[in-house]
Amino acid sequence: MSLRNEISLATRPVLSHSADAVQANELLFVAGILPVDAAGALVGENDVTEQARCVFADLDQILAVGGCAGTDVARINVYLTSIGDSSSLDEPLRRTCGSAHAAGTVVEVRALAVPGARIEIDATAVRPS
Amino acid sequence: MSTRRELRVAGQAEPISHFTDAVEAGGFLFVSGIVPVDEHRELVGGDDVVAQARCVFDNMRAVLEAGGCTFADVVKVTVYLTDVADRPLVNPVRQEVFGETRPASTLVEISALVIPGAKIEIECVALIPS
Repeated sequence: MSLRNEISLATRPVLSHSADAVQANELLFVAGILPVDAAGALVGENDVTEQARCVFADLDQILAVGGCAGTDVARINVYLTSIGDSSSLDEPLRRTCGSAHAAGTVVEVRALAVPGARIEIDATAVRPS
Repeated sequence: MSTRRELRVAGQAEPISHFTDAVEAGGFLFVSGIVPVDEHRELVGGDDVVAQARCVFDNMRAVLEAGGCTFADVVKVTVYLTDVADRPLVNPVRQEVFGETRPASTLVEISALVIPGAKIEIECVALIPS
């Protein structure tokens, strides 16, 4: 018997034909998170530190609704428009994962879906039983 | 009962930021993006994307083995290239490494990797054999 449950938060804008996360059995697949508010407006214009805090705060919320904590995250991918911004994720990543360490991939991309966005993250977590 | 275990693999470079080499969770092994570096995080392969790819797969083999997996257990790979024109050069290495196994795959060109000079990074997910 397999479980599949889509999660969409009222505080998150709908940017695409997608959910914020999908629970599938033990796994929670979290969609790409951009630094935007509930109306879809960019948060932290020209401030990648603020943008990084925003996307990890949203990740925290989505994980919680999906029955997970930051310590349950298995992998995180980080997409930056400038690889030189890598250090911006250190502090919010630590805050989200706490004592846990996820598998991670960090790459620079030419553009993200929201103009002015400098960071996007997605993640997979495993729900504690 | 799901278990979660973090792997730091001997001989692999120190992970960047607050990451680890791989995480076992829910019966899967989630492997961090692997770049062509030695244990001191020095670039391997110079500007030769084939040599870089071989290094990436050598590192991946070590991480998979530490998690009780082989290339035959890989269900998904994501390949990041700084020049998508390198794809035909990398493909023979992939065929050699995976043999009969064909994982689901995504390949994209990205504009930079965390290691200056690196042309390829690959991440994967494997199903841990029971």
